[in-house]
Amino acid sequence: MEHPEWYRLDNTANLYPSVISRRNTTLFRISVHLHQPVHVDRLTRALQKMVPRFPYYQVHLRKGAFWYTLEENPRIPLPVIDSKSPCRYMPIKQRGVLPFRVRVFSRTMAVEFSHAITDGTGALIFTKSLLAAYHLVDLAPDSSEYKALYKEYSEDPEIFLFDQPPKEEEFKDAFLTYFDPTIPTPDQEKKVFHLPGRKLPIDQYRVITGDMPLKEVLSLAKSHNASLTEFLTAVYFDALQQIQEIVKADKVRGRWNPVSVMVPVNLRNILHSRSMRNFFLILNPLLDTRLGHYDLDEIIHKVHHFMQTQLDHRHLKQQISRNVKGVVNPLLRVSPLLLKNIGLKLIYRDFGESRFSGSLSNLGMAVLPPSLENIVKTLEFVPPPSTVLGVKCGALSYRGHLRLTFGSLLEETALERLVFSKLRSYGIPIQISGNWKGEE
Amino acid sequence: MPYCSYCGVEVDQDTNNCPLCGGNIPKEGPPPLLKGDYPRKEHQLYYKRRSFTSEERRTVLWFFSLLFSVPMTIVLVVDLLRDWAISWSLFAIVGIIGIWVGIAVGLFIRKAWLLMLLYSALILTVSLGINMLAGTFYLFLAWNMPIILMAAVLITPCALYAKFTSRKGFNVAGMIMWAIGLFCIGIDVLIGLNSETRQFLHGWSLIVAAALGPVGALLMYVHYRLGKTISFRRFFHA
Repeated sequence: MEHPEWYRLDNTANLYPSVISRRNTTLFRISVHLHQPVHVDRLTRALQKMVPRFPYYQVHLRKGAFWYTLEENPRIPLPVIDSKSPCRYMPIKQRGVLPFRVRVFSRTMAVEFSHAITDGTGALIFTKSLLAAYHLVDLAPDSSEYKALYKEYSEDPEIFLFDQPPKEEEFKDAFLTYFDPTIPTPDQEKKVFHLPGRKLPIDQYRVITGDMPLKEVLSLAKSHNASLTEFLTAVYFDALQQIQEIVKADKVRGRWNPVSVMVPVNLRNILHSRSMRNFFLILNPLLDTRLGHYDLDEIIHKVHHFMQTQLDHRHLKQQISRNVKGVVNPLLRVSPLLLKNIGLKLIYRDFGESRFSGSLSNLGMAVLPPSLENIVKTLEFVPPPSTVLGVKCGALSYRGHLRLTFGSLLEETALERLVFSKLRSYGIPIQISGNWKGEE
Repeated sequence: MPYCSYCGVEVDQDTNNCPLCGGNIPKEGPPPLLKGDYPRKEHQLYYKRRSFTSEERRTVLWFFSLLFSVPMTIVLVVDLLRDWAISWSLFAIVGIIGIWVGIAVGLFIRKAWLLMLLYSALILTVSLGINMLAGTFYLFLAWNMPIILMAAVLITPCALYAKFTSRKGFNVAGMIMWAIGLFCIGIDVLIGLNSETRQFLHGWSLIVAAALGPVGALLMYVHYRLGKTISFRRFFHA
């Protein structure tokens, strides 16, 4: 299909360009750890072939009178060297700068995306497609190996091969499909507890990853009648509750609000969409710790029932309509971008991430075709830095391993330690790695 | 297969320098075993802004042409309707054409020295045009031309210094302070030359220069002496 020369940002993405800063970079990453060192020249060739297949990512951000827009950008990204701190600032508002990059170091290749163009699921599909292109690019198209691999990859619905044209539904802002102006706006959320702590210097982002056997965590979650996300969210809540109690004991003022965790939910499977742009909603289970201490079983019970209630399509549509309503409001549409930038920053500060105490984003299970499984050792999802929350958590499962990754802008590592030690106390073996090995 | 010993990545047989770090690639040797998933150093990336294409520049110029044609037509029509002659509107038209040429030069000329030269010539030409229309060519010679040339002579070293200095900061502000001081002295001398009293310096310019000179020196001192020990970026970070 003929793709447009420019795109509107999707409903969620509209917020991000206005709130980008050196700390709040809005970048998240999917890291791929290979068995062998990355072949940079081959990766460059793979990118040259593959990136035009994703025209909605091969763009740059442009300022309009009223909104930011995405305009097509002929540039192809070159792999760049990775850094100790991932997800560092990228000037995506600069003309010609692609809103994603591919970083390489030794056996690791990582794709960092700005949330202004897509979410974790879109990034995972791109990464899988890039891996397939990386595997195919140096093979002769008429060789039997190429044909066999091509057949294998084309059977995976989450791999887009470079010679297949993009489909119309991939370009779609799926939020608009489910917008209903008649649905009433949900109630305003409460003020919540935030992790205290000093921030790391600008341009530093600490990543701590715990690698654990998926089967054991799943059976543990099942024994509590919860899904994996519900169980992990409950452990996260428990750790936050414990920190809050310590903070309360220290008599720090203004810290005694309920605890809430942001749980993004991929809407593609629920609402049957193939959009490659942002299409997720945020669930915000809340634990009113002012009422007393909760043990883990109680938390799991509460989180489970909250999730079941909120995952109802009526509730989801209510949230979608609330988000879209703001954008389709005629007064807001005609207000200049300069004013919008100020307004959106305030909205983000007061009604955005500040409504949450933490964030847990589970990308689910990544499945690769057998030939790619042979070259890929582990996959990891690093959440974007957040100045409001301080710490965010991302989860991604692959080949029987669950990798729980904390990205933090705070000096203290109390939350990470508590979550991992709680999981360890249930007998789950965890292997910890990260980018921080003390002061250097 | 050749490897970069710093980045730990594999490259093509004919690659001499690592595409990531630019380092030399040894032709033989086993792959280096680098520990961990992340490098131990922070690597700063540099992004190049895409410059405007010729077509985009032309579009901007068309927009300004259209925009400026509106006031030009209005002043011309009002002048004609009021006096049945083209008189005062010419001043406005010369000014608008000057601004239009300035925008065109700024859009299409990318060399800083040529831009500087052309802007000086343009300001001189517009000024000459307005004086010729007013029949005050002598004023152009006595005031406009020396002031424009003096400004150009002082702005050029400031611009060159700002462009080529390795660390920009208070030093550029200090240089501008000195240039303003010199400009004031120049204006004072010009007033003296054009007045009947023939008194070259009237004192005020010396007071300004005496104030700005030390301020400039202080800024230079802060930049070159204190700047070595204090990170201004950190100190003034908002």
